[in-house]
Amino acid sequence: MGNIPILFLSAFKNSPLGYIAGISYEKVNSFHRWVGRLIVATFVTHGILMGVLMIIQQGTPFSVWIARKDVQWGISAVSCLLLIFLLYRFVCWFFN
Amino acid sequence: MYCSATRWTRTRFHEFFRWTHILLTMAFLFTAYYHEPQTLYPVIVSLALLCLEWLPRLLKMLIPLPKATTTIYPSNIIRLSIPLPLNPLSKLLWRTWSPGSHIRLTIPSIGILQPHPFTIASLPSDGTLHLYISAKRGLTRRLYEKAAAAVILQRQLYLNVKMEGVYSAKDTGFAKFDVVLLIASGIGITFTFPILRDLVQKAKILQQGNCRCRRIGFVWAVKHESTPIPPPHPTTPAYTKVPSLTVVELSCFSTELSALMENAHGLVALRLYITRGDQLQGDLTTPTTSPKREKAAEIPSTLVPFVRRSRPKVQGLVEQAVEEAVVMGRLGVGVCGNRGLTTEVKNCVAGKLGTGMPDIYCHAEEFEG
Repeated sequence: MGNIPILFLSAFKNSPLGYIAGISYEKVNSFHRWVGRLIVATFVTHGILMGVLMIIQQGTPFSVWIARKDVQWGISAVSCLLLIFLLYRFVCWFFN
Repeated sequence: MYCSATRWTRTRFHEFFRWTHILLTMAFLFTAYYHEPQTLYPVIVSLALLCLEWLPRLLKMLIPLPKATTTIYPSNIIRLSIPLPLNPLSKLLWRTWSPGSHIRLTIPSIGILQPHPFTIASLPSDGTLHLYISAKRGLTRRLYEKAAAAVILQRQLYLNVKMEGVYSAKDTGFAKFDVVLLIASGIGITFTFPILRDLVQKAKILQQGNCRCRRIGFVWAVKHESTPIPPPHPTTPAYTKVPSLTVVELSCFSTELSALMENAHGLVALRLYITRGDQLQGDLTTPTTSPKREKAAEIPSTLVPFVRRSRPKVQGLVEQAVEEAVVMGRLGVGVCGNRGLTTEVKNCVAGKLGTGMPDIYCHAEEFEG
């Protein structure tokens, strides 16, 4: 979650990151995309590893695990991220 | 070599992408909070940063500006002129742009919450901000229809506009290069033309010492509209016969260009290419809303020697510029066109990097069309 402020910071049109590094909006935007990819990868890994830990190592049944409120919220959060990612890919694909 | 600036905002899906991006980000932040309440703190930090960044932009947009007037040119091009006020605040905010910059323009009566970027085609010394807008679809098309309706009603259209920021690439000073090559296709001239004017002014008229430019190659490729223009309106006289040397897209810049060339002998090497566009741009005007078309202007006689009827040979142009730059000094290349052109220029420049030129600056702007 610590990455989120960086993600926001790099999304701005007049980004302070751009002033510090002396780079243009387009370069900052490509940085923004890389931070985004990193965040998607981190959260997807987090979800998978938590599932593996609970179900396989601790022997919690899948039905009990999926019934937990925080797990459900977590899964929906990750699907939001994945949807953002997929939409971006879709726009890129359509544009090219 | 430094390549920057892809202007992909004209894609059809950009609006869709923008809104889904915002909504899904909000959805993600909420769900992440319910998943683990500790995530509130980074989110608060992010939102505070967001407000800090948006507030100045919002305030800047609320500053009233004089109303913009529209002029319609052939090939579905609209010119939007915004006279800039002379007070110190506007001087600070608007009147100091570098040539080749762009603004984000909102026209509340046509599309609210739809800022579109447009390149400024005039210089700060003009006192007026000219934007040449090629009508495609969406907002630009609605703008065209509105301007066309005003022409039919023989009324001047005054539009309320809001501008956001003058944005430019971090490093667009072409004055520091000995040899400058500017390549544009179609409406891309809105990017290269102010740069050319600025350089000619600095080098020839003002004789500024910090302008190193000694050679400028200016290349502009336009499509040739060969089919006769159909009579636009039943009541207007039809001019079905169009002279063969009529280039519709040239008309809005050709007179200015020929005036500039008189001042720039020996400095600017001008080349105009007329390519035969395979498919003509779809005519947006429908019989009911079409304006009286201005008669397409012929090419001014001073420009005729520079016209070639072919596609620009980018490889040859870049090679020539590099040959000159090897003798003279540094080379800067500016290109604004569709993806095919910018890619071709970038590849040629990259291919020339090893051969005698250690460093070439290349600035590419791109549009769809």
